[in-house]
Amino acid sequence: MEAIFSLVVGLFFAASIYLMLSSHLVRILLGVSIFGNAVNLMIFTAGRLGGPAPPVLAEGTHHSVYPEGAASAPIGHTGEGLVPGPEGAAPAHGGTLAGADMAVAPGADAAVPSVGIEPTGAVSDQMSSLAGAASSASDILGATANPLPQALILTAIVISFSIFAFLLVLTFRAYQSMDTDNVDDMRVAEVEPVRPPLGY
Amino acid sequence: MRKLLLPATALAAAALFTSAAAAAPTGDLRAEAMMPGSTPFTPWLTVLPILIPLLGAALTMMLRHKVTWQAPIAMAAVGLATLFGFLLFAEVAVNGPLIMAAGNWLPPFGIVMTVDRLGALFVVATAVVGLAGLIYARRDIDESRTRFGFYTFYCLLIAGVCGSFSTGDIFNLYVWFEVFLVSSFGLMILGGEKLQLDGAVKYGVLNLIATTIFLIAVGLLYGFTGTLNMADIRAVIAASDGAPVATVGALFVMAFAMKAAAFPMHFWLPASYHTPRVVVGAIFAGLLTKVGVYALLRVLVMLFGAEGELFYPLIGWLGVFTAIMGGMGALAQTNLRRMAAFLVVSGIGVMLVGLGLGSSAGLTGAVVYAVHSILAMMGLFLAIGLAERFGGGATAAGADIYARSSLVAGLFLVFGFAAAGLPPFSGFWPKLMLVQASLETSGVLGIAGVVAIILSGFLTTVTAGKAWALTFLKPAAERGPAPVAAAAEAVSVPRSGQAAVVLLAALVLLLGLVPQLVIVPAEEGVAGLLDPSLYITRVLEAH
Repeated sequence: MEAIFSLVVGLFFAASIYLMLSSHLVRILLGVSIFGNAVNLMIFTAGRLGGPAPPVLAEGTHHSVYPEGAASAPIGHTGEGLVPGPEGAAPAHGGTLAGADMAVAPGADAAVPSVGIEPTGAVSDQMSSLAGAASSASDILGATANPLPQALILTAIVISFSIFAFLLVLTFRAYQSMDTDNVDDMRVAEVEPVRPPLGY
Repeated sequence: MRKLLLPATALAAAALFTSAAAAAPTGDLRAEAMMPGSTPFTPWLTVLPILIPLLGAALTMMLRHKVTWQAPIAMAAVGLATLFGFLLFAEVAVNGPLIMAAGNWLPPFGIVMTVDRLGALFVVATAVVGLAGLIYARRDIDESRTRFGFYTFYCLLIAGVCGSFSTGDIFNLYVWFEVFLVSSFGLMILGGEKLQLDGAVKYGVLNLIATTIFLIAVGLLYGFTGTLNMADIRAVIAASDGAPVATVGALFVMAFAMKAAAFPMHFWLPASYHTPRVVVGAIFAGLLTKVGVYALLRVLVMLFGAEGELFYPLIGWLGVFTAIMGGMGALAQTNLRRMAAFLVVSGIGVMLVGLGLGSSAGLTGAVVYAVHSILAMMGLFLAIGLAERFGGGATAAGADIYARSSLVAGLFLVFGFAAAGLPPFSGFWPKLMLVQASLETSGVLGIAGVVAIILSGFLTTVTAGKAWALTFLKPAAERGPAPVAAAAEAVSVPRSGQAAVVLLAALVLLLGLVPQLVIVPAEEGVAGLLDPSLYITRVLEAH
């Protein structure tokens, strides 16, 4: 799945760079837009494509996913635990294995009991099976989606959309006032080559 | 409606200040993922130079119909930010890196604001030039520009730049880049003249592409380190063997070199910085390119550690060419503002040479030069703005500004010589340090660095001297107005604008006479970059 996504991202980048090499502003803007989407997909892929389950655990689950002794260990250690694991699931969830627990568990505490949203349907089934089957943290991490890239992409989408909107209006105004959308002809801000004064 | 809005903001502000206290831990797990209790006052210093300009931006936005209130609100916001910036600087100088975890989430999960010696130094410089710019803007920005949100954008720009210097999270750094980028778009097109639109198209598209490349690099970095916290990234990269740093590093270098306007990615800068109001061009020239240099330092030196040394020669050579090309470009200009824009580029080259040397002395020189350049480039643009007012908009040869205001002519010369690196102004010491550091470096790059720094200084001296002789000194032979008429014109030039430029000139002179004020914090900041163990300990063991 990651391989297919990588190819798609590559295609997006190729298309956007081709468009941005044009001298017409509208094409450049289309290229910029595709460029932004390519980056979003790339971040999504970089976060590893995990399972379909939401990263929210049922109440009580976190006790079973705790590795022995991790509960008392200080978190955020800068030891060998930080080295990306061979399966690639651990680094996608926030550094250390213990860290991964922390990234998941507080969400469970906050969302399930206090807000009172009961998981329903397939999600509920998956989660209960997850809670039952989970013997280690990496099992759960492999089955759930990674929430962090989604948060990053959401931020990036909002930013790139607003800037795109701004650039569209700017292009339109520039077209109105300079009567061209060809950047080669937009030379108002460039001074004509004049000879500098040759004497005092 | 407006009456309703004000209490709402006050409430929001109150909520913002108490939210840390509200998130009290309740369970075992939460106690380990979150900090207990409320945040004491001291860590708030990391965010106050950002929060207060943000609040100022919100207030000026809400009260946009009250034109006369805008400048005082912005002035109060940036003034308070300056005050807290100095407090932050003092606190960090005494107690080392200061952190604040957003929402009390312990690093590396939440976003941390981390200010070390280097960040604090740049925050102070940002706030000071921000204040000087506002004093100048008081009379330079007309009513319609005020109505369209000049002060809102300005406050947001200051907040964004301060945020970039204060954050300890790489994605957050991207967000701050976007904050000041968006506000710079707003400032750039304010007024909507044809010239501005042309400049803004090039500025907008190229800067957006640069920031997006930065985002690509952040995404890939997250892909192989699994974390976004800067201290954690450093620990992961140091512990990992053969991480794909070269790819990600190349993207970072490309993005930040575009932002910093390094040759051959500098073309957008002289094509756009002369188009908006002079105070806008000044704040861009002072701050925005330096954020690119700061980010290069932070990412390549601190985050990548030994792996980043791969890129030092490339950056050094980029710097050599940027310094010389910038100087030559400036020499060829007939428009004063475009000349100043090329001098900004030339200065960036000098900083990159220091970064490329990679030694502690070279990096320190680059940081000191960056602080000098923030002050001197801001001052140079504002002095040109004053000259344009005295010259009635014309700054061509024979504008004879010296006869109308010897003060303005003198100020231009101060900043020109400071940019060139002549004593007793602030540019002299960092250039001396960089030449010394280059001589200590073996290899061709060391020699090229010396040549580039001295040659760019020489070119800048000639440029400033030529511009001064032709524009300021040369009497208008055939068409000049009589001096009496000129004196009458001069009265209309506001005193507050001159006060801002005089303040900057005094700072440039002060840093030239007492360079330790910057050199000492810069040295400690660079030591913190090269060996960030204290930084990492502070961030990752923040309980």
